[in-house]
Amino acid sequence: MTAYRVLVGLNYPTAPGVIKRLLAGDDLPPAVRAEKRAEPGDIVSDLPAHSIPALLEKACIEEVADGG
Amino acid sequence: MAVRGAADVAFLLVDGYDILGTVTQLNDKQQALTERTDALGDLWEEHTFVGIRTAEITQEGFYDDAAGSVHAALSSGPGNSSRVLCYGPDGTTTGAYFKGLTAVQVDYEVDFRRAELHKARATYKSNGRFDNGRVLFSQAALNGTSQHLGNTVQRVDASGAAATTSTTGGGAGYLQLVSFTSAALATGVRARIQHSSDNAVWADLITFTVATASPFAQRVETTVGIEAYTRMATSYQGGASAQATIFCGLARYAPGG
Repeated sequence: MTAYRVLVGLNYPTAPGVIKRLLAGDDLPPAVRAEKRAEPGDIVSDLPAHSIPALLEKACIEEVADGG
Repeated sequence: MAVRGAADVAFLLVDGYDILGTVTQLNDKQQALTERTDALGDLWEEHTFVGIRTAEITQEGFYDDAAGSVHAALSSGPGNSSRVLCYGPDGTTTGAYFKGLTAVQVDYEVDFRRAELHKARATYKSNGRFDNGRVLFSQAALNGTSQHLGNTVQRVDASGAAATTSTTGGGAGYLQLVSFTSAALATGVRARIQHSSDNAVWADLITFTVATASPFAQRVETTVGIEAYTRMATSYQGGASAQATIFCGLARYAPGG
């Protein structure tokens, strides 16, 4: 699984059911989202796949090379 | 926007002071500065916008010397050129419109008359941009726990329809900390404005200075593009619980505006 270094502080859901509902247009309240917090410098590999291209384009994350 | 009345004025905050309860009249005037440009031979005056705007806000109401009220907020203010002022004419719901600016407090006037309650008035002039924005968190108490995430506010286009694209002109975020009572390990409030392109993953857009006491207010500008979805996110420095009441809002700018 590809790992990414967080460049800008992020909050994101990790539960597949929550992600599916959000991407389908449900505006879930914060308490239901159960978001995870990642600070700049953190290495994460559980970002919602659908969001990764936009996060890379906006320089919110960068792909971590093997051994990096 | 709908027709609004006095009951819809939701808040008037000056540097974290909540003074709406004493104010009976609020006047907000924005003006374009012009120069007369008619010349000899012209029959009518002509005026041309010189490219600079100004705003002036005046308030009138009751004099109140209770702690945290209008006298405490404004009596030492004349000459203060960095007062952060926000007011809401459109109700209290998240997403409602608000006005904000950094202002110079020009004066503070108190008026004592026979057979009347004491009155207080103040005038402010803009010290920079006058912002029209949307409320992200409307002067309410935060959760007593370590994190509070606001509801999503989705951008609307010029016709009022929900939009999913970003804006590119940057903007300004506002924080007003009206009250803060620290608890064990909680020494301050860390507030952020976050944005998202898909309402799923949120990135920090504006991070305010950690506020360690109330009243406190801050206006922070950003030049980066702002995604369609925005919200407020707070946590307590130290991580433990506390009690805090805040207002948070965001104004988007048009490109070049």
